Amino acid sequence: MTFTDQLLQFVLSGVMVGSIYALIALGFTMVFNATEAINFAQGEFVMLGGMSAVAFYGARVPLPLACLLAVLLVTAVGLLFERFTLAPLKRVSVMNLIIITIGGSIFLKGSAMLTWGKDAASLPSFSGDTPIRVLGATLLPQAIWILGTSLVVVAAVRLFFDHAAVGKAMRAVAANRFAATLMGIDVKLMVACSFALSAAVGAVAGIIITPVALTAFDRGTILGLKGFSAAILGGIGSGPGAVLGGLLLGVLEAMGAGFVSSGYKDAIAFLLLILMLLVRPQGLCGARGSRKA
Amino acid sequence: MLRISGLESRYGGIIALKGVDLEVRAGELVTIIGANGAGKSTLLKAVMGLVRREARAMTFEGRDIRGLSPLEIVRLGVALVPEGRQVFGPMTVADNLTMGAYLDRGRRAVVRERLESVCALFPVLRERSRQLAESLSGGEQQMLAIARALMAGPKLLLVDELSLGLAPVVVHELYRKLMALHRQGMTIVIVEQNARLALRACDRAYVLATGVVAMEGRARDLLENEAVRKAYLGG
Repeated sequence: MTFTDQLLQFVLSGVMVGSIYALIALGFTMVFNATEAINFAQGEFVMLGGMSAVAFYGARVPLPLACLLAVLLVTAVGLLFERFTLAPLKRVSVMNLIIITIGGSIFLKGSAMLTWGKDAASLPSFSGDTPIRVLGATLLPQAIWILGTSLVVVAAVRLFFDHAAVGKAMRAVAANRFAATLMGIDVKLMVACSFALSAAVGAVAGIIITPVALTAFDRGTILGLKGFSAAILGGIGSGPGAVLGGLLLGVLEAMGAGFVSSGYKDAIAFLLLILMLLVRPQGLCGARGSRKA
Repeated sequence: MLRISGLESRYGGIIALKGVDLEVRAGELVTIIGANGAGKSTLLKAVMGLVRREARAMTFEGRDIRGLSPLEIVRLGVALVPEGRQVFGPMTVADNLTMGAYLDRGRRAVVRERLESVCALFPVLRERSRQLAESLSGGEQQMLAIARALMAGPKLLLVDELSLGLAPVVVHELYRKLMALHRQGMTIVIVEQNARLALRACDRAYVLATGVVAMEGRARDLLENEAVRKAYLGG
């Protein structure tokens, strides 16, 4: 295997993992824009997506239907999560919101462990396991599924926020809550929508990665932190930033693991996070130096 | 159209309104003037349900609006142009206007018609429709904020601190627009610190001082009034 082949291999697998990070980062972004809080349960939505798809598939539900049901289930969990943690609170600081989401994430993780046990589980690949040769590198068919699905989800999210009335209303809430209220926009409903959407997107990420990376009750934490790093890298609050940050993080991680040592794989994400916060705290796409108060 | 009696409101620990009586009839152009901290903005916020309030009576078109939420009051046809414009900065002018008609989003023909009429009133918004709201000048943002409020097709338009931070020539322009709107039949309440301009433009005026109505009457009469001249018009 020549150096360029190797490089290509790392880029390809980096983009695959990176698109997962991008989806998770997008979830962080949507909730952040609606609430200004970081939802640390985002990773648990990812885990729940994978675990519940496995559970449905294990109950002899056909794979495509199992995936769909898993997304719907996790979306409902996202809505309930918001309903029982954030919604009942009045006048609560952003810091308190963040701590509540951490509590919620521990609850979700524990519930998953009690329901499905501690073992790692997997799904079959969506279209077999015969590697595809791309120039000098190889690609699993599942990687194409991951890339394709991520692309579709990102495009759909983009269309929703740019053109749908509810999507625009969610952006209006992000831009100015008070003015949004004056327009007759139900801010609480928009916050609930943001949780539902971010849960759905997270679940999709959790499902498509499961055939290549397995899933378990505790996988959400690290995936959530990676997605969070990606969101910060790209500029928290920016949709394009989340996608860019995710892909960049995935590729750099794959390079680091390949050329240095796979033992440092996770460290790279957090090293990047720290560097970014030191050098350019607003992130790659965060043009606005300081957001509104 | 709007009748308020004995309106009280505590805002940030202080009693901002201590029994305000006020009435706005359909088709009127009314101004509320007063010094900074007199409770003018709180009064508008209290009408909108944005702050806690209590009143002996508060009705809009004969309907009790005391316990209603901001959302319900917006639905009844009251629109507020908030202090400091508060446009959706990172969104385009066109999207800002679309958001104004959010509650009527299903009625496309109505929304298009309203868009035509606000763009006729503020042609600059049509030119700038693809621009981000945050890239507009202060005066243009105020026009956008008014246009956005009009997109809801309100029966009553409340404008908070119309002239705040704007150049005199821009303020004159804005008053001309609001007077044009008034001639088309819109009921408007303008809260102002710039008393002279407001009194010249409006039919009737209320003078608010430390949470109560100190004076009320025809704007022209108040402009001549000795006490008003001393306190609010610089002698």
